[in-house]
Amino acid sequence: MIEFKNVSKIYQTKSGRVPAVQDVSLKINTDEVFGIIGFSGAGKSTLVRMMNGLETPTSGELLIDGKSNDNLSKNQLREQRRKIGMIFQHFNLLWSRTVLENIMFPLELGKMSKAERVEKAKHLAELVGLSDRIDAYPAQLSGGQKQRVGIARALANDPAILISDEATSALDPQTTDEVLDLLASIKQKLRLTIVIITHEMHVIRRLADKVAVMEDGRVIEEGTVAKVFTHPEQELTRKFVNVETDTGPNEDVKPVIGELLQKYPEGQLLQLKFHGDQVKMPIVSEMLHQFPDLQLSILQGSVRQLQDSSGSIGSLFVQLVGSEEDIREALKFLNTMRVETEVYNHE
Amino acid sequence: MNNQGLSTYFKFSNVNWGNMWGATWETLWITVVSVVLVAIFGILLGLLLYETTGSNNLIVRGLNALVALFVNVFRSIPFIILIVLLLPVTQTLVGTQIGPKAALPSLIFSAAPFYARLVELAFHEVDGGVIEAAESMGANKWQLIYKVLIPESMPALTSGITVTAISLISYTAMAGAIGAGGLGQLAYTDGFQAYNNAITFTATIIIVLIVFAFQFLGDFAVRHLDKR
Repeated sequence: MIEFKNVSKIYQTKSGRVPAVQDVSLKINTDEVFGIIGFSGAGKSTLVRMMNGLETPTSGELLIDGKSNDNLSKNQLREQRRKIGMIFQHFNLLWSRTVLENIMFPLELGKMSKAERVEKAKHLAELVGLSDRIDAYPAQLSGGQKQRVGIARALANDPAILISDEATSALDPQTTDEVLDLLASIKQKLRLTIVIITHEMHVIRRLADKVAVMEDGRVIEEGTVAKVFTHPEQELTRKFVNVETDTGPNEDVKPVIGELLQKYPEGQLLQLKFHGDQVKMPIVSEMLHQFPDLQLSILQGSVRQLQDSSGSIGSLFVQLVGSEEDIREALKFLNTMRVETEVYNHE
Repeated sequence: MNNQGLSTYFKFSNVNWGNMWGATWETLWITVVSVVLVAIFGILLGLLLYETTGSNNLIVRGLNALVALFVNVFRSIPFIILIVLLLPVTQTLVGTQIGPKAALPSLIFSAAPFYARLVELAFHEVDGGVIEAAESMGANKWQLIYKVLIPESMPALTSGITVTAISLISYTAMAGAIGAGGLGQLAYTDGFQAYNNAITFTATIIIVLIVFAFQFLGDFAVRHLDKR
């Protein structure tokens, strides 16, 4: 377990004291995937770098499996670092080494025979799907392949913890998904705690069990991904979640909404939000059965799967046309089915 | 009085080829040995400059200032003055003030600080992210230097030593003029002082060829080393 207890980091610069991390307390359980989301400058990178001692807290305490990094000698700290793998936004591979040599790098730092190193690195290359490129140099690889090498390298010393520092931020969406799939499969195959820093909710949704939202060095919201996605409390969290779940009418839908509002002035434009199992239930069709006089047009819909399979989020934009009473009753029905509704009016 | 006319450049019958090859061999020998020694001292000095830059520790900062001062002073002294200035040092270090061996101390004192600056620059250009990655994997200082810093800056170190080697060739010629042997001495004594332009001309051509060869080797090595 990784425990941050009231951790702060303040940088002393010429222009004064700059707080990077302020009074952060977090618990990250063993074998959990923990996401930390926030914009750049929120203090995420500083926070996770305390785990391998690349940064030291100004105040507060960080315990990994009950032990603090503070009193470690330089040698002990290096030993500790070998148990924590890290992957980076810009991959940070050595251009002068081939794929295999890059993966072997962390193994060379310890005491392992050359034959063992080659054996292990080949195995890791296979794990990340790069067996056929082991003699290539990083410059010859695509971004996604480079990050695969980064992942293999980070896993070389069989770490207990893997830190991913914006590992997909330099990649295009499709490559991002490939890398996320790889991390997901690694999570399945190997037992390790993964700490992910990102500014993309997509990454959190795909991988994380728990998430903490950081702003200005503080953790402003924290909880299971399912909870934070369905009931975001802070404004910033809502922003991140909204980007991910289309909870506003998107640009394509807007003109249609305008037309429909004009064509059916008596109609009611609604956004329905479904959480968890509601996504799979025929709630809308049930509603139409109960109120057969209602007309319904579907404008836009989407379903997103959260990492833990209990969590799904559905969003549906519909227009209801009918008597005021029917519409009111229908809204009540949706309410009893615990579907959140949001009403859009003429602008 | 026969030091007149362009045709004197081409009176190759006046050239003692045995002496010429001997001098060429001496020049090559001094250059190669000094390049090797300058590379070693330059990398050590450059590393010292790199490692002591931007530290908060007062002693380390003092050391950096001292090394920087040493480098700047020796880089500024014109070579021809440096040789004369270092004559007593040379006498102490190699036991003589004439001959190829005697050229080495001043060559090294002059070129090593120059190369040290290039080395420091090359190290500073190594991607900080890669260094951080190596640190995060538990590399110690020594591993960081010989597994990351040096291999990742190899092309810059190589092109730097090529430039340094070429100025070393020109320095050896200068040293030759005051008795260090090699093509410089031959061109000065047998060429200039004996009014034998063909010898000066031939020595020049050989020096130019040596420079070209070093440049070619350096460029080739850089191309081969750079996998970016």
